[in-house]
Amino acid sequence: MSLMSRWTPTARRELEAHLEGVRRSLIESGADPDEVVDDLRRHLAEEAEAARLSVVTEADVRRLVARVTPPERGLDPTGGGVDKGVRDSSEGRGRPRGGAWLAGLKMAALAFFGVVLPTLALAVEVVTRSCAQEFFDPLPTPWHVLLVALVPIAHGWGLVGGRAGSNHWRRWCWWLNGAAVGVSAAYTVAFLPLIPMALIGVIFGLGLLPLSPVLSLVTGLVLRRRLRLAEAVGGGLAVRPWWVALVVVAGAAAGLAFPALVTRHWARQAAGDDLQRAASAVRWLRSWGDREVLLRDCYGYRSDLRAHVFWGPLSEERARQVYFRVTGEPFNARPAPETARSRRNRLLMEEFEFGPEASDSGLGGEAVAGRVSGLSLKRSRIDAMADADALWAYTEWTLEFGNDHPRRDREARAQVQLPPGGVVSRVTLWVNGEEREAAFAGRARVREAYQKVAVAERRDPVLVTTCGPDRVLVQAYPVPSRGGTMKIRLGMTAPLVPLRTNEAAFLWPHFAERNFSLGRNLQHGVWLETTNQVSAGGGELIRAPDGEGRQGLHGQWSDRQLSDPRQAVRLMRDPAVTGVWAVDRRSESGGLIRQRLVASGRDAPARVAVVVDASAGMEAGLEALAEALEKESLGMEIGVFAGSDLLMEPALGKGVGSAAAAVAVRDLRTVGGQDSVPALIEAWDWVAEGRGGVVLWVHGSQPVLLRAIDGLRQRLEWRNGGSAPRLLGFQVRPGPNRVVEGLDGLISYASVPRWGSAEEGLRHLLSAWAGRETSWGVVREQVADVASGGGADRPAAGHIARLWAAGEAGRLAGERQWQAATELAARHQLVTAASGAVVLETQEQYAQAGLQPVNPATVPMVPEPGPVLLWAVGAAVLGWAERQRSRRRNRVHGLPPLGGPSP
Amino acid sequence: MGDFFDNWTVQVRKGLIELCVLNALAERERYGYELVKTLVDIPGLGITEGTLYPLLSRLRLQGLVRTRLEESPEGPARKYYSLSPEGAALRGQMLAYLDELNRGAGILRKRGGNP
Repeated sequence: MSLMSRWTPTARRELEAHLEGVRRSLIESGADPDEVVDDLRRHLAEEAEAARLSVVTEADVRRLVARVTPPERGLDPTGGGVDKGVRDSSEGRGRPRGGAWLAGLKMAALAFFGVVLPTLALAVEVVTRSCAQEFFDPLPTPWHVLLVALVPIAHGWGLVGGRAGSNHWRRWCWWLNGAAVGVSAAYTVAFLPLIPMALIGVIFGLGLLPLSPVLSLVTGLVLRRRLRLAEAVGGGLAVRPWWVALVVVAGAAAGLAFPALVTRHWARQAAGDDLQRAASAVRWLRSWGDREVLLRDCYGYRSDLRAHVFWGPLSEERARQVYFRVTGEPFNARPAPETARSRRNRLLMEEFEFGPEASDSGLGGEAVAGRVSGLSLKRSRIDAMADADALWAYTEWTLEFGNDHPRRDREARAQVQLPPGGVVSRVTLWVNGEEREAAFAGRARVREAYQKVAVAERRDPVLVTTCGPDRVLVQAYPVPSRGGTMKIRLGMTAPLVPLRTNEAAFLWPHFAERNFSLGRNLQHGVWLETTNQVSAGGGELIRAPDGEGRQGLHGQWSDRQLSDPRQAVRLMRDPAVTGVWAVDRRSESGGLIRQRLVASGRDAPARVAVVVDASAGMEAGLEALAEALEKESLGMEIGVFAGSDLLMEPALGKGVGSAAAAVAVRDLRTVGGQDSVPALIEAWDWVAEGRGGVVLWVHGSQPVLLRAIDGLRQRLEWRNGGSAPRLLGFQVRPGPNRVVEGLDGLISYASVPRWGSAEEGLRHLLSAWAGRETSWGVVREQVADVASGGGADRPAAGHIARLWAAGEAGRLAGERQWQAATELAARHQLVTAASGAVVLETQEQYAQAGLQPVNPATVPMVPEPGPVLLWAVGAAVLGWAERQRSRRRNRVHGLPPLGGPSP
Repeated sequence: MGDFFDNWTVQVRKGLIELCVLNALAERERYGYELVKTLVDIPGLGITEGTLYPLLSRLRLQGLVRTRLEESPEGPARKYYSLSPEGAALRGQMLAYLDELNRGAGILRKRGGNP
């Protein structure tokens, strides 16, 4: 047999056996059996050549013969009109019965490994994301899902269509087979590290799914061989697209995988200790990194196994740092990615407790942490009242959380930004429709009680603690699963910001950070009640006067509107009221609290260091600062420092004038997320060279600490008060800031109230420093001698006493008198750096924790008593005090008390 | 209805196969593999190799076609088929008969109108 192809002995035997059957069937056909057999042998040889089979096996012969020799129905080669095909005759010659069985088994194996297994693997991964959780994500995008889905489709097509005779049909087979082999090869490479583990798993009945790519690859190559044969039998194709499809699809798979791989590589470099390399990696990530991949690492999706193998692990904390450096945003500003999953699948996945967002690593902790699925804010209502003459406001924020998760109860956590100088003075939880008030005690004690009740007993507690100046962390647990709700209320006492003697600003609280989403179309229903006239602000709130001198401002605001400082409401006030007083009913010594309005900005700082956060999104803030510096020319020395990338020097200029400082600020390029700490330290050192300097920090959000702030805190602790440098924070963009949080309890740090645009606020501040405008502040003091009364000042609500106590507790904490600070704050029912508030469900829980909830009659509320009632209360208190004094005097002089019985 | 049509097409194809072979060889001499592929690709004829080789053998035995072997550098020796004079004559008769039949059938078709 003069064949170019090499025929195996079994192939030859198979061929000859078959031809012998043909010969016998043709004996009475009128044809020459030997000639026909020779012709068929020659023809089959040419078919094998055309199929480019270098080695022809027994199986090849069977396929060739099956294709070539069956006669058409009715086209009897004998001319006798009887269907007596050569196939029938070949079966009649005693072909081994096991052949058909073996062929069926092979077909079943191809169908299982080529169609069933890849389909199963895809379905399991899409639904459970188990590989994504444990090793790496093989389906990060819908495109990956499509590519993988192509494999079983192509194999199925190849199994069915590979035997068809149509060139058109076979061309599609070639395309699909090439694509399937390309995808399988790419995934085989990706799963290579898992194969040893999977092989061990096979022994124990597991591990077949990780082997799916390699088994699909083998199936694809087997089907390719069948296609080659089919092509040879049915006629050659002009185009063989297999290689084209393979290269295109493998290239697409590699292209899809490439961004994730390089992102993880750079992320690890960015998180490393080599500053040079880290800075370079951050720059690469900003330009080419896949933010979705970074976000997945932040949410604790297990990193790519290959990344682990090649570059080591990356912790969630490090990943979050890198995410901020690259994007300039907190990771939890976005929910966990839901790649390639439908909502239904996600819920199913969570039902079986897969997925990082199904669990909540921040439960009971001191950080807001990542968004959790199912939890949302369903209703929000803010009721406030303000007295611009007495410069106080009391705001109650009622929040109702809902949880749609099918199984898991959730903890709602939020960082709430209070107006500067504000303090939480009431916390309420609804239990079975009834209001429960909080217990105020030392910070550690309330947290311990919360954790015990929340985590261990899974009952209803609410915890409020400070997490930085003017910021509180609110935790409520559990919000029940399957549509359960939880309703809480925060009461906040805050000073109004005196803008002039006849005007003050009311600021709204808002979220700085949260672990829940906002309900669909959620709007905050806001209402501000005041007896003062509204001069400006408040956006598009509707005015509702009550006809008796009260003004109501109300409306619906989005969350973005609520956090916009331009929504501050400016109220007219009586300039003649420069002092107010309130009875301090909660101090041990009793007495009055006096509050005076004083001009505070006349002493211009000798030196100003402007520290600028050059993170992405700060463009408007920098422009506002440059404008303010340009327009409000300062006479003192100015230094400009920038929180910038790892290797950049923070100082941009020292001892320059306003115009030069403005130019330096304008020249700054904002990018990614920047660390302000080095710039703050250098700025503080520069300012501390003289006396009476100020560091003005214009910043946005910094959701992660990129380095320790101990050095900054140490400076501020050692030098505070008097002529020591002051640090003023001016936050341009809302959001969490860990640097500010780290400055909690320091009296040398203060945040500048925002009551308008950034430029407006900065110009107001700089103008006061330049001596062109007076800035105003309030001073509160305790007057021990109640009988001296308030003098010419007018009486005010008890919030004045709460604000004094909050300030005093802050001062005591600053002096490290924690015990005194805690006792004072707890007595006045305030949440301060030293104290917190917790609401527990039952009296028994309070007793076990050694806590006592406040008397509901003593909590502040909306509305507070009106001015007339305040006068009456004040007069009664003064009368009582005078009576007590008279009794003491009479006792000393041996006289009977006034109104008492005669001895 | 379907079975009838199927049987009828089988009969038509059966009657035409020999004529198709003779026509294919009337153009030029062809070697077996090429001839088979040419006939296999005729739309509607629906013939396979298993049918053709015995038919070619019968035609050769009846003297209608001639064969010769020629070595091929690309593979096995090739067997070339060509039309014999008898085959050519028979082909002419068959075509004339078919034309006549078609004409008659065409007249009836025109009278009956196109479906």
